[in-house]
Amino acid sequence: MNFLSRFLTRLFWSGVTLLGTAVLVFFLINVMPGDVARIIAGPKATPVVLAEIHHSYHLDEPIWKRLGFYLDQLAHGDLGHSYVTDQSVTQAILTRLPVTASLAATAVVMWLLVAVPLGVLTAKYRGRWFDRGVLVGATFSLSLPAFWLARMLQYGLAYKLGWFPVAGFRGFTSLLLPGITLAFLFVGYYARLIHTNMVEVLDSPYVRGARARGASEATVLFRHALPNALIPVVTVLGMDVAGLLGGVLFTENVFALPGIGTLAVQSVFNLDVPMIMGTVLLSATLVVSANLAVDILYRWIDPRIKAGY
Amino acid sequence: MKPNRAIRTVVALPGFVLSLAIATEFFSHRSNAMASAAMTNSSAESLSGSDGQPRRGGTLHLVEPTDFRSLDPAIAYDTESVPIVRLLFRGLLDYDDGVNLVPAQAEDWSISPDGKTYTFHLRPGIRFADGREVEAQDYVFSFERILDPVTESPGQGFFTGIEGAAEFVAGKARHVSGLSAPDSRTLIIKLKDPQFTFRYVLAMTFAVAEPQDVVQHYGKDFENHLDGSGPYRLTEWKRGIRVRMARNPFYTGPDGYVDAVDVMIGGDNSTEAMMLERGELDRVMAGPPEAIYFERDPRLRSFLVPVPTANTDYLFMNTEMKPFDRVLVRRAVNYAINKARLLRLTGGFATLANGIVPPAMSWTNPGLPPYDYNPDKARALLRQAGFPNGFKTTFAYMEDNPIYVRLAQDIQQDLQQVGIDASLRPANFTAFDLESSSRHQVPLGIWGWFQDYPDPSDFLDVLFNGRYITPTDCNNVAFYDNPSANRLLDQATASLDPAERTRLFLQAEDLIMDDAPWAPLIHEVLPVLYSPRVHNTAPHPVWLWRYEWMWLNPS
Repeated sequence: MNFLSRFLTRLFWSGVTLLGTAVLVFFLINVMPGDVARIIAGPKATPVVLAEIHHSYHLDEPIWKRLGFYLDQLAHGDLGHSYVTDQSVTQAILTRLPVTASLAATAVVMWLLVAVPLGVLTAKYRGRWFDRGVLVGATFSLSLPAFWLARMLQYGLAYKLGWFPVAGFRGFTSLLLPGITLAFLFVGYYARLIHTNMVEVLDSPYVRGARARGASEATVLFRHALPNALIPVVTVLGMDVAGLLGGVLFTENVFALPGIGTLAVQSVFNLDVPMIMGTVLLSATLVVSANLAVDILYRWIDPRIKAGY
Repeated sequence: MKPNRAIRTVVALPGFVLSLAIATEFFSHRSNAMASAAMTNSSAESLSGSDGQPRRGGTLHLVEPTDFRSLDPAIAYDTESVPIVRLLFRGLLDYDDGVNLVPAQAEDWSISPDGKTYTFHLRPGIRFADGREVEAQDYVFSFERILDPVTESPGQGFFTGIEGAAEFVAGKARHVSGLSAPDSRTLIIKLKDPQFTFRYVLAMTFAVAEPQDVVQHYGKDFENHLDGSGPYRLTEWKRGIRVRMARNPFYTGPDGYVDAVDVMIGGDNSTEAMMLERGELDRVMAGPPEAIYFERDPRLRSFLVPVPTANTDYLFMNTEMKPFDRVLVRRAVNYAINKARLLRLTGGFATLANGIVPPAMSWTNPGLPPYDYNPDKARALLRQAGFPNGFKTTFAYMEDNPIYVRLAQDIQQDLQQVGIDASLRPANFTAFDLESSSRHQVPLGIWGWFQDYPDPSDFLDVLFNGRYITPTDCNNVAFYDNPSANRLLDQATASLDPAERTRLFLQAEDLIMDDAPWAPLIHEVLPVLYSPRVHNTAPHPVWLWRYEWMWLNPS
């Protein structure tokens, strides 16, 4: 099977996965009891107004018809309107996506800046106290719950010490502490991942060859060993960035950042069905496309896979 | 028991927290400095006994956990968005510092002796934020817009008493015959029947002037291009992120103190309280833990302003369902509840409810039948009603509201004491609302009601007049229908004589409380935190807070 047909097959199944998610979530949310019109118009709404709302949101139609309307909307790139704020869901997601994306980018840069040197150095000094110390620290960072760490850092570094704003979004400085929180949760895992790969690579013949040729230790570590050790990291990083939505859910909420995570949690609390659907679909799309992208990227980075070695 | 591995991990985490806390306490000085500043400020205030000289200028920083549904006055209808709408729009009437109506954009106003015709003359020179003068026709247009079902206004029902409204709503007339503007400054409203409370409707934020040309130009998108005649104008509304307002240069009424109002969207109670303490916000709503924390710390106590609300949280008994169709059973339930303990559950942020109409509505009813906590009497009444061994029932409540959850769990124990075995059934808002407002669904449950305007009819007539019972979407969740009470309520609402109305409503409340379809529980008091730099934070009985009257210390 050539590359193009393989890619098209994957693309098709990605589409099926997304459609399945949309239908499943639609049914799950729509079996909840209650009249949305009363949420929208309040307890004193007259029957005429309730009927008008039922009509304009297609609530007076059978559920299969509503699913039809919803899928038709989706096909036109329209995710509907929020029940609570009446804002277009697409618009709401687009306004908030930059915040979440910059938070994710800040966090990724932070954790890689720390994890890469840690991984390389612990591989070089493997078995020594430094390596063991990092291992303990990594286990610790891996086991912390996101919401707890976010609260603690917010309390200590922002509220008590005043080094950072407590919460809210007023530019880049507001991203630092949430970024540190997310980075803290991932840095241990990445330090260990890079460590393991580096250990493997450092034992390989070509590294020994480079050393034999008299290359400096820095050149050996960062020019020869690291690029190869990073290949598996790319895969994991791709998936993690897509899955980061789970992490930002708590972090954004604690720091009151107007991103996708806050939007998702607020919509769940407000029973805002179209908004819940929108954020779930966005998350599903991110994961599915990251999967696809990593698959393609991996073959490009590592020609051995394409060649079938 | 020996500690296992899991326990050791659990011990390690607080170790980290402790070290973090020690480190931060060691380095911390800023927040203490802020709190001492607050203390100095509050003691200075207590010495002078006043807020000092009001000062213009500065930006008031507010926060909302969720974005407003809309700030379009035809749509906005909750305690958080209404005070903001009041900054952007003004209507014909307003309240003074109490519950008395005063003219706002009306220069003078009169009601015909038959109570059916309201005539208003607008003050000259009132302008929208775009500079255009407000005309009486704008009011006609705005009221018709609310009545139009397409607007989907939650306040439509308040205006259906206008003559010709029914024909307009049904699409049989292009205009409402009872609304007219003979000239640009005169507005005449004719009602179908006399309606005393219509004057209060005209003070609600639904009844403000919207610019006909701008609304017609933008249609439903008007909410993103708001143009009102209030003291402030909208300068930015980034949905889900922030709302910003600045002075309306064309406003001619009494000016607001602050130059701008900034509303941040997002955050939870504890984050917001920390932001307030650090000076990042000026006003936040506190949850019960934050309220207690601020109340107990002498350095922070002055931040806390308890705001009594015209609300009643109540236990309703469905009078159409067994065994609550028996008045003796309903009275027994009233005697079984230890309300003093309920009050403690709220952390003190409530007052005890003995009647239906909240006292915050300037309402006192000395004639109410007393239902003190008396389990023996409750058991005796149950015996008398034919339930010597009590009975089983289900007890529904809305789990989204933490106060209701606590009340429900506590009341369940009280009921158990007298032999009533009530199994708790929590539900989310929509499910609870759907079931409790439908006939024969919920025998026993907790619900609450907030005033729309300071008139007892808003509680007694709306919630207890049996003539309004509908199979679904019924606000009379006890499905209480007593012809004598209905008659009293009908007479009271039809009357135009304030003294007679009060007398009839008092009688009706006595009668209803004697029939006991409810056990009134508490009137909520909202704990609000203000930064010490904010002054004039005294709550208003209807608007709760008036941002335009608040002023700030120089930063």
